[in-house]
Amino acid sequence: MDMTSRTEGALQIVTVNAGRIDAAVAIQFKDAMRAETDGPSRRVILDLAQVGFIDSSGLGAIVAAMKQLGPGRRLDLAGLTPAVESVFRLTRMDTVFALFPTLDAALMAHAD
Amino acid sequence: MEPVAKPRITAHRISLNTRTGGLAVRNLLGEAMVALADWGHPAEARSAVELVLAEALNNVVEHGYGFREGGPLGLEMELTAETLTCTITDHGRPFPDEALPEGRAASLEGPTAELPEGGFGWHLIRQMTSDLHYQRNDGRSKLTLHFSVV
Repeated sequence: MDMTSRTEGALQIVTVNAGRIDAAVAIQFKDAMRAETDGPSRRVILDLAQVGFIDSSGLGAIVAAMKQLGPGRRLDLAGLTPAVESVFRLTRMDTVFALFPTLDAALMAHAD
Repeated sequence: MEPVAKPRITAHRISLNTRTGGLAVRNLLGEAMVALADWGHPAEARSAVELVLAEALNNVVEHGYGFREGGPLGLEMELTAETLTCTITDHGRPFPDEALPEGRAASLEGPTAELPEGGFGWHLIRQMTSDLHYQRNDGRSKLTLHFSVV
């Protein structure tokens, strides 16, 4: 699972460089996120702009990634493509995660 | 001389077959999406079909075949002016009581640490299809999914 991240103080931006987070790669995504976010950053923004498709396995892996951060840390999502956003909406997971249309929008928002 | 009327294509049909293992589901979905695009099915509708088929196919791989490789998996699609009908066939285990899961929406209340990581599939399938049927005959499962063409 190809992802890159950069850290700026308490903020970490993780960019997923894959087009799909689906059953085929859900476990790899979860493991890669655990390794990538094994640090002190209080706010992690997951940039999904390159992801054109997720299924419920992918959604579950993103939920797992959030749970893996542990208390006091948050996972926000940015750049959701329409198909990906609709999975969050249909499962009402858009009430659980903060969704931003772009990475810039996520960066400009205050992380409360 | 009167021009010959062009034949109106009233239905498109395709039959795809594979066996479980590796990226079989991804590849099957890819072929299905190419076919729908070729048939002029709109992009937004194709996304919905892709998600439903992914959920149903993943379900066969996990519950029908217990992640066993080499299990036959078939997808037939027929598109008319009114409906897209997708039929998934497999030779795996039947649904318990040969009935489709209800797909009740999971509760998202409670602490973050207790959020569900699965169980969304059938809710998604039911929300995004206009009808579905399940048949079991001679060790074969046949799941038929209908999508209204708006």
